[in-house]
Amino acid sequence: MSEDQARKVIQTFKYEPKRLERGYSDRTLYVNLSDNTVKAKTISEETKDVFIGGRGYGLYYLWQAVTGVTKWNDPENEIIISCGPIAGITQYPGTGKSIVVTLSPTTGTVIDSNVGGYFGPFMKFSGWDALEVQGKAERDVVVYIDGDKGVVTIEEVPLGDLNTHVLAERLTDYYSESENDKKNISVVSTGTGADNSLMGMLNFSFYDRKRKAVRIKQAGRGGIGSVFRDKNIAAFVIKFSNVNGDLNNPADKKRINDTGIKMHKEVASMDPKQNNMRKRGTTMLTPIANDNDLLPVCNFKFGTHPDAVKITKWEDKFCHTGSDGCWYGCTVGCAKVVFGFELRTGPYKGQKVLVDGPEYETIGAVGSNVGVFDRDHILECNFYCDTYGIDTISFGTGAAFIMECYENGILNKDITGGLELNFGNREAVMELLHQIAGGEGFGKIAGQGIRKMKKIFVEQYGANSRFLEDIGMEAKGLEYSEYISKESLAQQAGYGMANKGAQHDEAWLIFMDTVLKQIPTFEDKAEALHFFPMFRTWFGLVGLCKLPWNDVVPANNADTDEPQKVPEHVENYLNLYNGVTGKEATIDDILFESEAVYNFQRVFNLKMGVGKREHDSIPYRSVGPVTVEEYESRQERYDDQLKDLIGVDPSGKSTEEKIKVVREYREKQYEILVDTVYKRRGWTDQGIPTLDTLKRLRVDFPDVVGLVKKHL
Amino acid sequence: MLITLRPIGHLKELFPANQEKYELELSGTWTIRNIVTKSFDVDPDSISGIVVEGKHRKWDYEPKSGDEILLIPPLGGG
Repeated sequence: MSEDQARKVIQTFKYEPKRLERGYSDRTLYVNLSDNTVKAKTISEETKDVFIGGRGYGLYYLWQAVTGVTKWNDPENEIIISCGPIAGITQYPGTGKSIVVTLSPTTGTVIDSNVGGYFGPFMKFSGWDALEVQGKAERDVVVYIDGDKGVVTIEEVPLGDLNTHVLAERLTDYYSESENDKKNISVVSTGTGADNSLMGMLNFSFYDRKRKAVRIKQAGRGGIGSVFRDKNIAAFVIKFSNVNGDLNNPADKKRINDTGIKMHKEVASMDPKQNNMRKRGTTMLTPIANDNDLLPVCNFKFGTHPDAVKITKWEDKFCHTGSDGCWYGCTVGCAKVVFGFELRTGPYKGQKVLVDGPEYETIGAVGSNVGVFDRDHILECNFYCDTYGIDTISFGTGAAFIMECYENGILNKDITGGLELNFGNREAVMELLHQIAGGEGFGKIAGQGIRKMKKIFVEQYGANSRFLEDIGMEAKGLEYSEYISKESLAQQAGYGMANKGAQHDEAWLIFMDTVLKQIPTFEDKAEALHFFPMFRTWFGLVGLCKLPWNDVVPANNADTDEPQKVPEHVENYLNLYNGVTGKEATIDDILFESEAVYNFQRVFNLKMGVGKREHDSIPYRSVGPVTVEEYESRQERYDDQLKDLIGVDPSGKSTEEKIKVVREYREKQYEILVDTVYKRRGWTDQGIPTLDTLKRLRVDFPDVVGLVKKHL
Repeated sequence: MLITLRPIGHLKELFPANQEKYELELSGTWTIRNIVTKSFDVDPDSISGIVVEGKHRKWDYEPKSGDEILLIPPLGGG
């Protein structure tokens, strides 16, 4: 039987491909996999005005779909992909981002994760501002959008191996008509790790024409891939031909072109002198993190390691023969790639494969944080996490937690099925990953994420729950991304107060706080914890990548009044936004738009039972030294702080006594900062947006107000 | 006057000795631009911001004795 004979179309929906106007089609594509409904929904002007697009649309539709008791694996849960009005322009770097929103299996509340690749822009050009998928299919299905012909189908196709590096290539071949047509296909897929764990992620593909290869970027955080597989989705596939820079039908094309030309010149001249991301990608952060005591080592115990120099340089590994933008027109091109890497373990052992990455976060997570300083290990782990559909951050941070438990005798070989999970044991790390992906052995426990592991270790293995709360690096159920925050109070709050859990994409304040000492007071920190989360949220509303904002800067940036905000780039973004939409928004206007969506998400957390002060608490490991080993590794620093900050003479005190005093001080500091930030944001002392705040931000919808009133 | 210059991150590689910091004894009036370009022959385009004692300073800032000058590359973080 041929592949076409084996293809079974379950549902067909035909539509008129709609021309975008000023970045919007004003409709979403709704698919219900339980009853195979496919329909278009119109987005009202009122909804667009408040929620803007991207993460805003995801939150809006998910809010309608779920109640406060909906679980991640209920059919009512949705996966929503949206990118926003600027997405898809090709004149400026970093304009192809999608945001994926769903209820997370590890946090129980809403998760948002941004991702590059072609799917989001193709979806817009095919006539849809968002894709909203609800229900569960009976068997594995592909949702296929043919944006050229205006046809959406739900189909069963012969799939075979579901792991992304096989499936995405296979589906790219299957739905394209020729080699030249492959650039018009994008596949969203995951792998067996998403079937068997709660840390599943989604891979969004883009076809690399120069290298004739399917490349991928990840919507990594919060288990979105696990939701995807729970719905029996094998893949979303989209086809759209004839991409050009004007498909958004912008209000002012010249304004966009002029802004783009200026920026491309800047990237070409400045990036080689600055971060050189076009050669190094985000790996350039690794030596900086290591030099400044910020690189997580051995479950965030330490911030630097002598062997870290072995994993800081990557240029020689990367292939430099093509463009590494994950959307057209991205001259920053940070999506680096390694070709011909020979696998040493697992089901594809011996094969030579393409590895997308590594990025800084992956180097920290599966390298230094598990005590392995070996580039080939990092590449192997990166490849398998990607193809299995497992988030490298949650895997690495989770594995590091397990290793510390193992070294403290909480776990042993009987429990781990023979795995010797000491820090530095790269073979054990890889075996753990394969077991998670296969749903086998100790991997079944490890794949649940740190929050659930803590409960299991206490209940079944008699672990000390306070110790696990201290060293288990998760907040709201999401594993920490890869920065040591102990010496940055602002970053501690950046992690703890982030709506989705412990991710740095709301606020990355470590350098401003600890190295540059620019935000010394609680009020300074609270102001930074207002501006940066709000401005960064805006990127996710409109479809932009954050990196071109402040990882490359104009020549005169140091001579501006606020170089940390890169004022010329903020002006660029206003030009893009206003140029596409026809608005005349100011920086205050876009911060207002973000603040509205941000506060709506905070209330969404409240709806799901996690939106209060108690849920902004963080593990003490991210605040200060938990163990004697940690304290003594930085004894001079902590002893000085005892004397200078706390007013306690450390002489004659045991390390345990000093740890106790430092802890009391630091935990109190955190609570004071939380109070200060809540006040700055217009929230109650329990972290709930006040009715006045909701009204000011125009998100005082009756159901929102009704919910909040119950908690005031 | 004695000042300290600290290039942050990979900016260290642009300075001749690849050191964490440089202590400089200067006489007369100097701007930060002059120190960076004339004393070290470093391209100022590589530097995103200048912080002295927790405050942003511009290229024409004239440091005082005892100042620690941090030179920052673009650092957005993830």
